[in-house]
Amino acid sequence: MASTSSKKNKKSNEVTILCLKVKSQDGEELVYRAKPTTKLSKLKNDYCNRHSLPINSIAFLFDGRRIHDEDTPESLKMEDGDEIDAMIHQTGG
Amino acid sequence: MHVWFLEHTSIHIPKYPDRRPRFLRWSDDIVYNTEKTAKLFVNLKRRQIFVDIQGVTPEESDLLARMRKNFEQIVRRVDLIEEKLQHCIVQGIIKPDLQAAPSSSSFIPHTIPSPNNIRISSEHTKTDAPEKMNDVEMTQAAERVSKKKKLERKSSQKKIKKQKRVHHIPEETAQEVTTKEPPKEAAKEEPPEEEHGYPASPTVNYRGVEILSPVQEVFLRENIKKYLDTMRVFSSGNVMISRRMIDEILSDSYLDNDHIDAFVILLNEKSKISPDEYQKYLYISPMYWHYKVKDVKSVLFLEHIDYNSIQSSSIIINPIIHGNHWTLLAGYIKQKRWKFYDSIPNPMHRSIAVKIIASINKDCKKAFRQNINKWSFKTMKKAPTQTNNTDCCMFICKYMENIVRQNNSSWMQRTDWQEKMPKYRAEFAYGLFCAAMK
Repeated sequence: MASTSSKKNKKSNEVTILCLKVKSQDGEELVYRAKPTTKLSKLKNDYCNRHSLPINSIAFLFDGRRIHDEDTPESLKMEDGDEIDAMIHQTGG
Repeated sequence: MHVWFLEHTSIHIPKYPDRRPRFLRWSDDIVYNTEKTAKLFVNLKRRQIFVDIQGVTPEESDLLARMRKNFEQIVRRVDLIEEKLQHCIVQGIIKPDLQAAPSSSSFIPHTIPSPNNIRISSEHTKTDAPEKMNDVEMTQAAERVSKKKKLERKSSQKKIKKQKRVHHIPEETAQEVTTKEPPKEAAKEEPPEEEHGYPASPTVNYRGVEILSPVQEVFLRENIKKYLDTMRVFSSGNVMISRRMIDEILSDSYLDNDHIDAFVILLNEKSKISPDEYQKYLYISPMYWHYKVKDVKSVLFLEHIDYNSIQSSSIIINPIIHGNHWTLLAGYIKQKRWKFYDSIPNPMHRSIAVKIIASINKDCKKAFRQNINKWSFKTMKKAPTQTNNTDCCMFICKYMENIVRQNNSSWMQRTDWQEKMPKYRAEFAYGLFCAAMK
């Protein structure tokens, strides 16, 4: 479950919980604790809600690659402490 | 319901028949291959339109009712394009029940005996075919008999192939349509998901949609109905298009980087289908620069650029997003020249391009083996420009499309782009839905 905690370096006792750092474009960080099987879309939705952004107006990137809604930490082989970049879509006209 | 679109509705010949699947099918996951489907069309003649309705749910019959209205238009369109053709026969195969009210519950798929239950009736008229078509009604028994006869008449595979060829329609139309479509397969549709949040409107009122050909319009509207709010329509690599983003295309809104990337993916497909019509180009995503500035890993966007790919291509295109405005940087490798396209000409927009060139130069030194900073840099002043405040992304897309086309220098003089923007937007959305069916 995507319970959140703003403290960094918070290590979980259970092996099955990962800490994932979501980094926004202005350097702000938010740490999520998630099970390896949690869908990352859940994190994204929570992140959007927190920042009052419309859902899907940001893209989560892991290692430069976009995270899709059905991806899980497990499927992306994420490890504890990995960083996710949150990129806001660039619009123009 | 089975709606068979011959090559997406029977209006044209595929340019490369072996590369493109020939039949589309909605709402089911049964894949009919060419051979199987070919059997259905054994007795079709040149320029006939074939629709087979077996079991229809109320919503579907609603669609089909509209399809039928459109027949007339379709036929007219065909006539316009191909006036010289003499045998203009339209064959509509429509179940009588279709005319019943859409709400009737008697109409459920389980009443279908078998997939081979085709109802065939025909009208052999010349140009006034569509009117007569509406009168077509047959009893169940009669249809079965005719069906059996049809089956008996089926002959060898060779004939089938010929037949298939025959009832397609000439090349000019083909080009017109094929260029818009990436190849598709019989599609497997995802069931609509129940998503949180408010649902997007299942219909779209956009003037551009009405400009499309009737077939495209129906296809587009139907897809819009099918995908809900935030459902994913199309995705490829880092690019993802959700239903809401389609709404942005169809509402004169600003478009974002995913739209541009998706457009290039479609463009790529087109150039694969007809390689002769497009020059070889390399694409650098606008996100390359954006990620770079934000210090996110951006090497991904330059992965495809190496010495060989540069030698074999003639153009590099790189859309740029800066300060909510899209511009386009195009590098002509052979001429060693950068051209900068801006739909709202303003010297201020240009400064960023120079920085990007420097950055690419640094990251791809090995690939270019020359200093691309020293290429001449020119701002194109005569390209079509926008008069409103929202269409620049679409302009950039069209620039790209026209730049990479072979033997296509006249586009710079065009002045009607702004008027045509709604159409281009609708075509873009249509293309995305086509790609989604793959």
